[in-house]
Amino acid sequence: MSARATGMRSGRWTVLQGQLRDRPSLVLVGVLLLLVLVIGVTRPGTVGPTWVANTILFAAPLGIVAAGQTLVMPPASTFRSRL
Amino acid sequence: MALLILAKPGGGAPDAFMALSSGNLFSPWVPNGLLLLIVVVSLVWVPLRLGRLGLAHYAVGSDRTAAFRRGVRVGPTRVFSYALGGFFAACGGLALMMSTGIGSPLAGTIYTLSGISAIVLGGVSLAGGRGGITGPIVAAFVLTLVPADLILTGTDPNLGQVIQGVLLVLVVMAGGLAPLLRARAIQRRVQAG
Repeated sequence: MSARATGMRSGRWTVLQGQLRDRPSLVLVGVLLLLVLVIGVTRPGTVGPTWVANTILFAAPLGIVAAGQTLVMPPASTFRSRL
Repeated sequence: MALLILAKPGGGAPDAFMALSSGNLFSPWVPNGLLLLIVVVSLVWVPLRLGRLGLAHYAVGSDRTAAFRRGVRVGPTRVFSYALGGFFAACGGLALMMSTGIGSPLAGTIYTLSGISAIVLGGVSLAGGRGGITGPIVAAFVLTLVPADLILTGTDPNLGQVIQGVLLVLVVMAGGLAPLLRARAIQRRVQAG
């Protein structure tokens, strides 16, 4: 019984590990929510529509640049490129 | 162009241009900046991901020789990816100009390293052939929020760069260590069984 429970737990852990490996954005969404929570706790009233709008506005350039670099990375493979 | 035309780097953006991203069209929670990001990225990414060219991108990154032997045109695929990278860099520059109003051509130099940090954190393999676009965009938001958190908690915001660098090193190290540990585990299992 105990061995089966341990096996099930390790199976679930393996599934979770696989999910997190395949979808790293899930972890990042968690980190993002944590960072928002920290701001919400340390400075109550800061997180609102205006703050969200400003954050997105300042994150958008980096997001677009990162999207462009993502498109370059799969075929160009920085670590293997020979120029 | 700005460096050629102007006597020194500088200048600003017209108000009408900045208003494109600063307002909100549908709801106060959905700013135009987000719409801009979604439109720019999805206009290129969705057709690319669904089409043959997207598959060719990943095939070339995964194994260049194998892709060539399967009929993928490696050279043009790489050139196209660099062109798309340039297009997105230009769009990123315009977005930066919209958000800050700064017209200086040297304003976005920090974004090269930040962009690489975002894609590494977002799960894109630096060795090529793996990764999507959602992760790097979410990572871009995380990297933008880290200095904001530092300022609001009273910590030196310059530590943001340090945190970014440490995260980059840790993720690259973990990315190199994970396949090594997996290979060792497989080797151990083969030896045992």
